[in-house]
Amino acid sequence: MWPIIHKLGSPKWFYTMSGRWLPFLWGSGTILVVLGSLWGLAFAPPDYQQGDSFRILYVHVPAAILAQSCFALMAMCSLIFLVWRIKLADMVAGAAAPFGAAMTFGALFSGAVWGVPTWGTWWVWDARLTSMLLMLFLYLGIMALRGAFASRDGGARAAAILTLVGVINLPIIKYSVVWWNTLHQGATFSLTEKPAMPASMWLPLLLMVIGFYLLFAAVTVARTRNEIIRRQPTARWVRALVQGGRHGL
Amino acid sequence: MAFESLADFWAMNGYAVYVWPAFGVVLGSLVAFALYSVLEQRRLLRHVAALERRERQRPTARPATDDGETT
Repeated sequence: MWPIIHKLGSPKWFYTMSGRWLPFLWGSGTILVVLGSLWGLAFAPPDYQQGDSFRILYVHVPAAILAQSCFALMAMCSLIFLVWRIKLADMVAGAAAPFGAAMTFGALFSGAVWGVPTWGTWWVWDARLTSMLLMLFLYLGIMALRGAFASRDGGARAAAILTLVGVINLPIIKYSVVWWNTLHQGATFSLTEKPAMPASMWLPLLLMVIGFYLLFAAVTVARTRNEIIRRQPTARWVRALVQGGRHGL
Repeated sequence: MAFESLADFWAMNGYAVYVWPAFGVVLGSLVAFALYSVLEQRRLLRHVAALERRERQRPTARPATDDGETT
């Protein structure tokens, strides 16, 4: 067990392995998001009540799902870093944070412009919207805290602890539309129930969600690789990489 | 296509001012992250190459280390 964990936590091993996967992640993610966008914008039928404003769904839902998945990933990495002191886990958590913040902002922004024609307001202080806004502040706080320490390890530990505290917000976001009376509708997708919309509407959404996940993986892997180089610019294997010119995308 | 004409598509039947900014912000941030991470990698690898060149000129300045930790 320990040799495996050691190998998985080795930056060199991660860099070599991920170099092979990265072009596939960028390529497949881009294709799915482009296809899903075209399908959702131009070919999915308009909603019978909301008309064409419902097409915002195709960016709003993936952004909101990724915002939460990114936080969950960061929480797992933070736990691994705090318990087993594996630095690679901390690098992944640090690399993922800005993307999660951007997706949270994207979900809030697209929700606000969607709210104007459908709810008649761009903002209400209801449970779903407020808990998402709280998550945006958590992301920004985690990123700021990481940089606020003189030692890198101190910042990493503080960021990891705040991430683990903040993870309590995830179930609150998920069940906010169930526990409280809210203007926001319930979940669009469920693993256990049939979708409440026709396939011509949910298929492009499925493409978008999978595409967003692939691009999230690509961005996080690419940024983790950059962080590895930034931390070890004089390591022998990094030197060999630059000389060999084999550094992937 | 769900629209009668290309003009209707761009106008989103009146919802253009909501739909396009929402797509622009979310998809734009994906593009920004992709571009930035690739550019950053190029910059870092150039930095590593420059470090190495400098060291070759002054062999005792900064020897390569096994783990390469700098701080």
